[in-house]
Amino acid sequence: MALSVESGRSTVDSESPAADGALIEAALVRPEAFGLLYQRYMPRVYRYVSTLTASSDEAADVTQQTFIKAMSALSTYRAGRASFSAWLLRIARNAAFDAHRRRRPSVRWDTLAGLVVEAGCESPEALVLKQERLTRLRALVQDIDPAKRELLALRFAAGLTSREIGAVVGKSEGAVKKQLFRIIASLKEHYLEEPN
Amino acid sequence: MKSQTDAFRDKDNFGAGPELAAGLEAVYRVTVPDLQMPPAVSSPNPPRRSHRLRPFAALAAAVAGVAFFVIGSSLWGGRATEVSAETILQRTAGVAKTNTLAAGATSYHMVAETRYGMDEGKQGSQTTETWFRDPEHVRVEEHAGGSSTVDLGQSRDGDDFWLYGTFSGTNRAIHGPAGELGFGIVPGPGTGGTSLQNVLTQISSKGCSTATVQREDEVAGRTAYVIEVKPRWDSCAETRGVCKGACPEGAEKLSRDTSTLLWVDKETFLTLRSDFFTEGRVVSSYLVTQLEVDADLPSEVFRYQPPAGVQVIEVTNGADAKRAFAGIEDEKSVPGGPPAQSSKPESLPEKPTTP
Repeated sequence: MALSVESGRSTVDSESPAADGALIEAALVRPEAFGLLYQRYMPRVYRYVSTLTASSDEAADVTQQTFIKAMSALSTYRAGRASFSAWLLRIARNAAFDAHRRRRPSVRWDTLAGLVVEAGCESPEALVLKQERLTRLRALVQDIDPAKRELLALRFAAGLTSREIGAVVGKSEGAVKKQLFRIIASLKEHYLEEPN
Repeated sequence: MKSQTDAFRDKDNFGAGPELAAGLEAVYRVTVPDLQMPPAVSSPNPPRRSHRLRPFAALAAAVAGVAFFVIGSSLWGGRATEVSAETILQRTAGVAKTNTLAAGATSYHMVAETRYGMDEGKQGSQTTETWFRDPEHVRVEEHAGGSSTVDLGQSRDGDDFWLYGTFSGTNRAIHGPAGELGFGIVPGPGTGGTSLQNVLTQISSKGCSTATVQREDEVAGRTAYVIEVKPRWDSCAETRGVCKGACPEGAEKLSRDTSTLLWVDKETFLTLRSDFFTEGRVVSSYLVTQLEVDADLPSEVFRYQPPAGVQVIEVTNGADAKRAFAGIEDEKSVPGGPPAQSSKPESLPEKPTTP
């Protein structure tokens, strides 16, 4: 499976629970096989913890701690309970919360890396407008309360399904879907409004 | 598992629509650094230790053990003596910075060597031997270079505390209650760590540094995590407090150019080795040369008996101890004071032997 990183976005091919299962089995016997799982999930974990940590350094620390913990606890993973990604993101979530408790009183959303705007064939004016809209969207997301913001992060940074998100945060799939619908409906309403 | 892009095309995009979905995707699109994978563990499930760990007790031991030298230095008051209190302070501060007593081990016997001044052309070394059974039974002895003479020793047997060594050319021993003399807290790296995450957290939060596991290595026959520690000047106001006000010119740059490598025992989280770098050069180092974990340490190890010829000073509190050392300092400065005795006493404190 290939791992490509371009313009700050990583895509991983051949993702499937069956592929994860095979890698997990291999990693239990040969720890070095965990490297493939690491390659597959590190970008997602990093993107997610970036939304919960105060700096890129801290996000890197928490990411590393997540995988160290995951490696140590790999034999306790049960495919029937949750997908590997949900299990891993749950570890990441706890690690990020631990780091948060130890360091600062509030999460600084604005420590996320600057918006990465892909330059296509737009004109400079279009790019500026695009950047402005994204800045506005970012501000809208920042205004959302932390619990809801986390659902968005698990969805759009970590790429989890609503069921997997539920496994991470301890809610039912239905409850997560309902909340996400409401959050996005609210965002859409404000995002599509013309700015003053 | 669907890719991030596929998730947006999924009917489960929660009604975002293409424009908002693309916007949210862009908002969460961050540059992912090339993070090195942590070292693979030899077994996903390390075997459980057969004995109970006592993290709080061991933390107290870490505090006690690492702080031994700070106690000694504080009692000295920092003035120069024939023994060179400044040297002792430097040595003890160096050991305090590099040594770490873990919260994970129940008992151990350790020998370590510290080298310092490597960047100044005035290199020195000291050997430190530690016996630890529990927070109330600890003994630490320091020897300069390859000398067998105890330059500075501290021994605690319950509430019975001895501080001994060669002070102003005389072999002396200060004796008093451990509870009264007390132990300071030295924020050494990984002090009191109960897990790798705990160690990383302590390293990262104290002195505002980042701590990253680089690889595994072996020291003194034991497997260790190698952790790189770098100061975080860019976002850490506390680091600036090190200078206590206006930092001298070049201090920030010096700090930016410094880093430490720590070798932390995978099982006990003891620091087995550390190298301190300035501008890419090792300027001081600490290395454990012998380590016996779960050592059987009999009580006699911690019962210091001053040999014949050692001047014993009895104190009941820290203030008395400081006064006693102030008196030692005065001896040196008073003309016609007692002649300096041989630095090698007739009889050295008996080094306890472990069975």
